[in-house]
Amino acid sequence: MAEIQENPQDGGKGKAKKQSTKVDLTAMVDLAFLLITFFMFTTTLSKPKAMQIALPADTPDNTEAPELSKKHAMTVLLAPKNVVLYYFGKPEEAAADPNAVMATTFDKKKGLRKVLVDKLKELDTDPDRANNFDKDGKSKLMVLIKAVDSSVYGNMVSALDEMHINKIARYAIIDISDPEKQLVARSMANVKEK
Amino acid sequence: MPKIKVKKGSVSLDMTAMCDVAFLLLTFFVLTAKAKPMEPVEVTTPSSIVDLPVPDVDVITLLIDDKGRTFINMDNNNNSRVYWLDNMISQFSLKIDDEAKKNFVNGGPVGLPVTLLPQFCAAKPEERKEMEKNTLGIPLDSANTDANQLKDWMINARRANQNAKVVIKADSRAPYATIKRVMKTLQDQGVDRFSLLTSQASAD
Repeated sequence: MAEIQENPQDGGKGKAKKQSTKVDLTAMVDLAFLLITFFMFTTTLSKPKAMQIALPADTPDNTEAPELSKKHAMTVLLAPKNVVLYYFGKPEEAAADPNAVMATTFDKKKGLRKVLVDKLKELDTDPDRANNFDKDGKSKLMVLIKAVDSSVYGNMVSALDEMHINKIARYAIIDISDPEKQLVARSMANVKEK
Repeated sequence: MPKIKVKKGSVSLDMTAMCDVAFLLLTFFVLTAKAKPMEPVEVTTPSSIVDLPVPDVDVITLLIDDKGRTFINMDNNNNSRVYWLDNMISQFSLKIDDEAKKNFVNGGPVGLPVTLLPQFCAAKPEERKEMEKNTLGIPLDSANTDANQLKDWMINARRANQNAKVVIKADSRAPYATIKRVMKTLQDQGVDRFSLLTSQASAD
């Protein structure tokens, strides 16, 4: 039926022309690599990851924020030009003391991460240690992250990321208040002088 | 002088192995390929250590570029984009014909004042690209709540797909003022939990 006639009788001579079985694959390889290149460029290999954040429910007549011990409060102010300012304790006290607000960066070795590590260590070695950690072993440190409008989104994510890295369970993103804006302006002037 | 005979080697190489490898790689890339979604703006997300994956469907994406222009996008799972557009049309009494509606449903992110939406939907692909290039994004004036159209887009999107999760995909250079306004808009609607899209990086 569909048999291929091998050795076609050529004038009855019975001599088949021997064909080479080698096929030139160069063109095929070219094509394959072209397609590989195309797919490599159009593929998104790593799936995007997301950071979950939860904001407090918005209640307009929000009564006073829960009382926070001075020792456990830390405020991180995200200033322009990737500068990170921070102070411990109450904002009024920080405003009164010109040395209260310190500047740091997002450097991985000596930036904000070191500040947080040192603070956690300080709480850990405190004689009143039991008061600094809840029964799950989590520190009671509360970090308030406040960014000025001229700061960038990347800095906010970096700050949140530091919270994850240092396993700080209590942090919040809060709108910056006017006195703190002045604090940032004052500290930024100091940073420039240095 | 006797001639030195140079042995003539064959120039044809055996390509079989190379061909095999090439097709193996090709198969791998074809199977793992997922086309890049078309986005009107280039966004470089900041990196973080978290590794929570983003769901593929039922996602409302807020795209914010480095200049603070805001776009909104939702996937078309269960025809949610159709309902979304219908909700917008009835709220703002827009006139959009069926052909233009189809363009919207099959399209991607939008970032225009609502008044330009009918024109955007009816436009040809090239014209749409041009409009996307020149747009200032969705107006989100925080002082004037009527001018905050992101709020309307969000409300209608969530009405169209109640399971939708909100993801913010912002450029790391996006001004914080815009981010704050977007987060405030979400918070006002009771969307307290949302995700920030990041690319993964190690801690050190």
